[in-house]
Amino acid sequence: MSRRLVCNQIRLAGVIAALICSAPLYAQEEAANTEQLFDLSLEELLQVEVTTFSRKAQLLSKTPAAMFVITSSDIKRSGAKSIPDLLRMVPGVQVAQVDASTWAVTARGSNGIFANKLLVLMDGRTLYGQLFSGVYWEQQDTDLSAIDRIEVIRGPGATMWGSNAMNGVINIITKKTSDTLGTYVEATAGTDLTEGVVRHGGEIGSARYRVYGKYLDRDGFAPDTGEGVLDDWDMLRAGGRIDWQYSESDAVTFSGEIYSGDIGKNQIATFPVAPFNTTFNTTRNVSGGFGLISWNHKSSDSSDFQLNVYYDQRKLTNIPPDQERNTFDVDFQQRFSPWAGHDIVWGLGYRIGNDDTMGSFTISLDPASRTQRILSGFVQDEIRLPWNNLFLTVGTKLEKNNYSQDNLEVEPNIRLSWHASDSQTLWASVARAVRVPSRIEQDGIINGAVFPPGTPANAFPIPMTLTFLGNKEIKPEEVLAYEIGYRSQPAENITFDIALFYNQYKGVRVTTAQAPVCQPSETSFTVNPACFFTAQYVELPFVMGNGGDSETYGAEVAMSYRVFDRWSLQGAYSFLKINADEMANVASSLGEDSPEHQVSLRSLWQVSGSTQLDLWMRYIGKLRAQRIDSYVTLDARYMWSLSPAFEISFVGRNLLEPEHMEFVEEFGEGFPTAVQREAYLEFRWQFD
Amino acid sequence: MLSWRPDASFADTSVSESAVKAAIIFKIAKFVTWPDSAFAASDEPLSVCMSSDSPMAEAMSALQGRSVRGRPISIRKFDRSESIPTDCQILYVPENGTNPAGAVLDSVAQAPVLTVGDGDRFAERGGIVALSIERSRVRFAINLKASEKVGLEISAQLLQVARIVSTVPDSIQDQP
Repeated sequence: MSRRLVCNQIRLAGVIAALICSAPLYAQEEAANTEQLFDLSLEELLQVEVTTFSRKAQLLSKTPAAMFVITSSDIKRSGAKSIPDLLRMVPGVQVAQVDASTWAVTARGSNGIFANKLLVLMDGRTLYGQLFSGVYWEQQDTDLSAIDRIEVIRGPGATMWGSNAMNGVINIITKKTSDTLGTYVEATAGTDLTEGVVRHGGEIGSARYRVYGKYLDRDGFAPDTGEGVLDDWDMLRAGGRIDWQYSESDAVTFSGEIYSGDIGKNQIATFPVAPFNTTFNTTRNVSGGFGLISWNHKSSDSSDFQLNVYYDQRKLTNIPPDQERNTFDVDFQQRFSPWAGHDIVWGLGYRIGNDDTMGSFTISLDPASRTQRILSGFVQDEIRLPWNNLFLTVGTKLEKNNYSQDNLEVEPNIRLSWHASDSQTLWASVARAVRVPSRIEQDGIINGAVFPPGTPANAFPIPMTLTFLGNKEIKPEEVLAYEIGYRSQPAENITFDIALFYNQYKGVRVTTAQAPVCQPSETSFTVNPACFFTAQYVELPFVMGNGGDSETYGAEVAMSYRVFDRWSLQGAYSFLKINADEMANVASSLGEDSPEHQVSLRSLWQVSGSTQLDLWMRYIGKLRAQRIDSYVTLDARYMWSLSPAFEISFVGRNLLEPEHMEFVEEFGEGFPTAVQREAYLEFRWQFD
Repeated sequence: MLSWRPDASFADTSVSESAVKAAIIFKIAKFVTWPDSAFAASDEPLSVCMSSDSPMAEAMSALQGRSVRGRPISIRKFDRSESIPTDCQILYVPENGTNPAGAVLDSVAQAPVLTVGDGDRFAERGGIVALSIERSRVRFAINLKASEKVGLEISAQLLQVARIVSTVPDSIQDQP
């Protein structure tokens, strides 16, 4: 309130004062005391930024699942410029950057650039790739200022869709068009980054729209000497969205996007003839787009349905295997309450995806083109038990997928939650989940290395190849996941949650050595050892199968503490232990590829009405499988809002060291680079 | 697509939507003149009414004890099963699914009640003040015809910062 008085006095001082005094949006962002709101004028109140989901926020404290939400305010104040970098604040999520454009992201272990146990969705559209499994994060350089929130749920039980949500799901939700009205321009320039975003939103009748474009040019982490690894990353992205409130109870959303980019990579190529193994720098071309229609019908507070239809195309060329994938997906889900105390949700979905690939000696798929069909459904009932505030949730996912021989996969879950008080929730859950084999696990032929003749590794006169082969009979991996958790708000300014989990995996992918095979005749040594004398090369095959069992357990803690109105702290700690049997640890998709301990601590300080200083410290333990050392790093952001319409941020990332290694690609196809210290300036304009 | 699980960080530090809306309703009230007939006595308080399960109910209690034009504000919460009181000066009609807002508006259509609701469509349907959220900020629309019809005078100062809606829906127009 004193600020307002001051402003009234200096309002006469002219334009500058007007700019400062009309910038209450950050001043009030942290004003917990609603009393102060009544001291503002109506014009000032209309400028106050509000949390539009405050009512739901109260409910999250009752969410009986290990869930974390990254809000748009977290996104803005993190200084991060990519979705994987944002995810570093989430407990139980492991993020490691492989090179300037590539990340390995997982939850509760099993990390890799093709991390296959974490499902990622954006506005209901899957980003999980079925060819290699995992997410190509380098194709997901979404404009972060248009993201409303990112919901991260660890564990398979609380998710309804998706057979690959074994360890969790990330749901990225973009802003409604009513939150992006006007014209917005963002420009970033830094030591390693040039980026621009332009967006315009408006109204046509009862519909609101936005159109946008984004340009990204990221310098590779490798030194610009023209030698070594070149990992530059350029992307162009454009799209639009319309939200149309068709009637009182019906809303329709249309959205679409196209993108194209060039991604520098260092690749290994193998040949059955000299030079046998080479590495070279090349550029992967990526392009794609999607169109999505979503219809929401709300018939009452406890009853609604939603229909989602989308088409998605992705193309990667110039690094084998070239691939194009077209996906068409229809999902329907409905919620209703047939009897008092029961809240039922069910859904049905069909997805058809066709890929077309062109491989090389190093990596190829047989057949080169294949169509995947998934029919999936789920049903869940949340039952209010006759005892106070005790809820039982039972449900199951069902899936038929021709990548797993069209067997019906049943993935049930049961969850008991107790809302001990308005500010305390306890939960316990057990769930079974599966991961459907990827295309490469079924149809892949990977000549990972060639041993030239007459070398220490191969004394024979003909070349030998180390070859990984897919297996058409491979079955889905299974997990039985147990979790207990507690979420509490012990004081108005403190929130706290903890989750403990134990996961038992069965049939984890491993590779098993088989008898050498003469090539190109494909004669096995066991059939005719004499083929050795006529072969062009000898293949040492390792075939993928379901040989590994393993278990993981751990604990995750998230905490936030508002010390003063203007200063808050947010912390996350994750502990993860992996016990894989020897087989699984050596040659599986579940090794010790994730840190045992990791810590994230953020300090968010509203220095004055128009300035913010935010710090973010992270500790990541060592990765045994990759022989990566532990590291500590620090990001800092200083923001100055010159007026409600214009602000400048200065951001430094990974400040403590000039560079550090975070990961080594598990497929060994290319070379990783070290993550660099960087700084950038960001300008944001918002016009009405 | 995931589910209807509630979704928001409870660590978010921004001001809650309902707290800002409550403050704005209070400010708006200062720009409205009710006809004398709206009050039973000259010292009668200004009644602000809403159903007890309204999401705004808690935030609106911050208005209790404040006064508008010399009249203390009295917050009255009614049960949804009861009939809607028509002797309120301000009636907050929450958004919830089907069409109760329409029924509420019809029941006070002739009374000098400043109806306040959520979403632009509230004003288009005959509500007087419609609050909405745009770019994380609260906006409001005013249906001038609806206010004139029940004898409320709205200051021009308020109209400067509002979006003006002038439709009069059939349900109100057709009544005698």
